[in-house]
Amino acid sequence: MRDLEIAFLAKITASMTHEIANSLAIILESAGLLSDILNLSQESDFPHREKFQRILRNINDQVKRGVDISERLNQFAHSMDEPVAEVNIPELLDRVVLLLRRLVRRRGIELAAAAHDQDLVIRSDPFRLQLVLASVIEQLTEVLTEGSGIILQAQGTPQEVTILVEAQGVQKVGLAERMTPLLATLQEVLEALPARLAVAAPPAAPGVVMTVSAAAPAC
Amino acid sequence: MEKMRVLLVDDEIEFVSALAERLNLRGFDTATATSGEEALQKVAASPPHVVLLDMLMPGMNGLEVLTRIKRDHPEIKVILLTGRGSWDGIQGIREGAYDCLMKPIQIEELMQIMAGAVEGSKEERPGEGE
Repeated sequence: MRDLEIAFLAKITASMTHEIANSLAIILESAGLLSDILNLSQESDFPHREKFQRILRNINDQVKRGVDISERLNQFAHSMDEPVAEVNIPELLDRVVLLLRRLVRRRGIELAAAAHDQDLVIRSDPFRLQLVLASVIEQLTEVLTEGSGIILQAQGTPQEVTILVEAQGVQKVGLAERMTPLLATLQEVLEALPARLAVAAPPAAPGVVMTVSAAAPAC
Repeated sequence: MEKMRVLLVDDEIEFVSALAERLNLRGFDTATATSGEEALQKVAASPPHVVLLDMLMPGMNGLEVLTRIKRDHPEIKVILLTGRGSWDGIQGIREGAYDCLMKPIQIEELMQIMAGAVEGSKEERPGEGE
């Protein structure tokens, strides 16, 4: 039933992002046409020409921004297509950062993924992985003060991947006491992945460690 | 010299209308269609040099329109318009499309592709426009 619910959400989201892209395409062409017509005129014909061109460039920039956001949402929707897939973990971390960066920044915290120079692929549920990571990140934003940072980084093998959600900054509340209710909430999802969550222990950097095991092949 | 004839096919009428006007300003002779069926009627009545074709339309989809155009008018260059994250464009290229653009399109990129399509079209239709 859960897979049915997720598939429904994915289908609707993907369809809506396509509609958004169509609307943005119309706006871009219409703004482009205005710009073309404006370029036919002389400065003396139309005293506000430069201002109009500046506004049209602004429209262009915002459309591109909308396209970017829509594309990310479309990719997120498609991550729900398969309950088990080959997941490129560094790319997944980049995607999580793009999805959540703005939300996290509203709390004065910067979210980033560590640079990666090679792929790290594991068979897993991309949607549920993002769900767990987003939940952990959300908890960290409750724990950290403004001006802090959260860094995502991964290492491992195709059989087991370790993702560190590193908390860089001052903790206003202890992370360990926040983890117990979070683990209870995510228990079913973690078992399904399968994955484990734990507070990072010294000498590791402060944060949360997520250990993901490769999902069993489908029968 | 004969203007290059372009048929723009997309179910979003505001999109084709705005894009047609932009191409007119750049010296093209444009026609528009908002469905696959209408596109095929217009191709039969007055074959264009280039067709700009949206892949996802209600009724007859872009791939079917492409197949029929290439069957009846192999000289027409078809440029596909696809959504981002869609594999339709790749399938369309395999089916004989000249090129593929993702919406929303950048006019500069379209003009580059059109220039290539126009050159190819001249080679296949010697004597036209002279």
